[in-house]
Amino acid sequence: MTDQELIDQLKKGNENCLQQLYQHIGMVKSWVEQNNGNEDDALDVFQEAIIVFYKNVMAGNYELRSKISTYLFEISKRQWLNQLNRRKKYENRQSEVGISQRDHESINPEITRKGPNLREYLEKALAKVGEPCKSVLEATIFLGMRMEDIAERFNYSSARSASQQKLRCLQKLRGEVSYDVIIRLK
Amino acid sequence: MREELRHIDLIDKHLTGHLNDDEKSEVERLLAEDKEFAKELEVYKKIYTGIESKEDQKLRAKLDLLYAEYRASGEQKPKGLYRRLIIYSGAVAACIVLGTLFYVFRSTGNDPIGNDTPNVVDVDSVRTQPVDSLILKKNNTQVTEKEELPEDELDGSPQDETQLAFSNGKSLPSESIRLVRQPSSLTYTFNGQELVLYGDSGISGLQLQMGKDQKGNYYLKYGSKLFDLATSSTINPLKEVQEGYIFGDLQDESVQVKVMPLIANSQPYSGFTVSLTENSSMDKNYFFLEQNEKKQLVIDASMNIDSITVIVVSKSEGNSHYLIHKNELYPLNIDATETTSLEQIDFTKNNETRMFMDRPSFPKGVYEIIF
Repeated sequence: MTDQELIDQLKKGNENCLQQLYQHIGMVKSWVEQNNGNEDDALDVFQEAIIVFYKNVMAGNYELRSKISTYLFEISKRQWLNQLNRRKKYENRQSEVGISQRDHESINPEITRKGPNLREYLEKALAKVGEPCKSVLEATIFLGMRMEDIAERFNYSSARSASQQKLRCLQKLRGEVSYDVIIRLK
Repeated sequence: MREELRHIDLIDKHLTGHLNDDEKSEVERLLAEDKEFAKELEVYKKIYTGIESKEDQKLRAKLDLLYAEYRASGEQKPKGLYRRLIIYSGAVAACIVLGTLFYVFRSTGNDPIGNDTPNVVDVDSVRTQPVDSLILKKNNTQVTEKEELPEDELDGSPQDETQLAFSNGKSLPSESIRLVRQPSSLTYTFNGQELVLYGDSGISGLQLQMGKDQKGNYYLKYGSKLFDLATSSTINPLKEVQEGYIFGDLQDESVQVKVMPLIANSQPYSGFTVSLTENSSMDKNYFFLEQNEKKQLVIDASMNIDSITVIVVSKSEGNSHYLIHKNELYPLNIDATETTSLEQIDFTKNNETRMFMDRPSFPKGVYEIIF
């Protein structure tokens, strides 16, 4: 499968094709490992790079100028360098304030688990709204897909009618959401 | 109701950064004057963040799964170079099959069988075969077995992936890798009734004229040159005749002319070796691998090794490479070091590929020739 074919498949909604990108992970792994990282770090930055790539493709912001493998490698590199910088700052700050790593870890998980979850709440609301609204909203809001592409994928006659549909879907979803509940959710 | 949709539109554009200047001031005005609008904006902000975050989480989970699958398939399969190809082609197949189902499902609502003309079938559609047959020179197929490396010799040399690859793939007999020089000198055999021409497979019948002098000697005019056609049952170079001549009347005689395809004029080539892993998917892939100063062409496709010929056409402007499998012709890129898919082309695509075709012989009338 060529780069162009992969992009075409992704645009058609064949998300599983992202698996193919993992054939390029070797390069990233060895680079990250040479630069103070381990295999897990490499996997993290590579996954991040795939997401960036995928969103750009879906939003129509990706132009096939160089090979996808090169693109992924460049993003991974940048991600890892940023992360190294952040770690350095974090370590400096910690040594200044004098909080040990262990104290910090014990606080964190409790905060994230407290209370009902915004993601779950929306998942339920979207399930009530049903298809095609659920997919249309996810594709436009998360992937940033353009209305022309939405029209093509979901069989609307034009970008304009896809936009109208999206607004109606938002309205429907809003009907399933309570202001008092959602505003407090994280 | 209209008013509400209008507001949603403004909020959507605000949150996605698509407001124009007029809309921007309208949003500002609404935020200042309309408490409800401000509240709605807060709700939608939450909705957008929530969808983004839940989808992000979902995508990450999916990628974890895809990666786990990718790795698992790598562990089951034999180690070495072929792993790359096998996993790769497996992933391609999975993504197309699953993706296609997903797509059909999506585009038809919820009945995957209900659509009888899914346009996604294009992906797998088969190209029509060219009708022309090919001559493939292959004298000695038992070499295949001789050339296969014994597996136990290979264990314990993990640093050399090429050798491991051999144990998984079959290697193509060296006779099936052919070199053709273009242009090459014209040679022929002739027995008085049939003329067989080698060396330029691009010759058409219209470019040839047969002549016979009063002594019964035959001549061939090709382009602006006249060649002497002494009978010869071995392949001999054509000799040019320098004397002045004119063609006279058409005689009541004809010679059957056969222009041999390019491959008939080839010799074995040893610039690289070829190995084949048969896969069961629809994908056909290849790449060239250079290791220990040896070049290897690695093919991963459901092909019959006895029906494969790899041809190197040597020209002044550089070599070109082709793979022929039965009646299928695939161009190869010698610089393809990453997995590349084999794309079939038609034999009639260009002058070079046309020369692979085995064309039928044709009769040529014999003219009187006078020196």
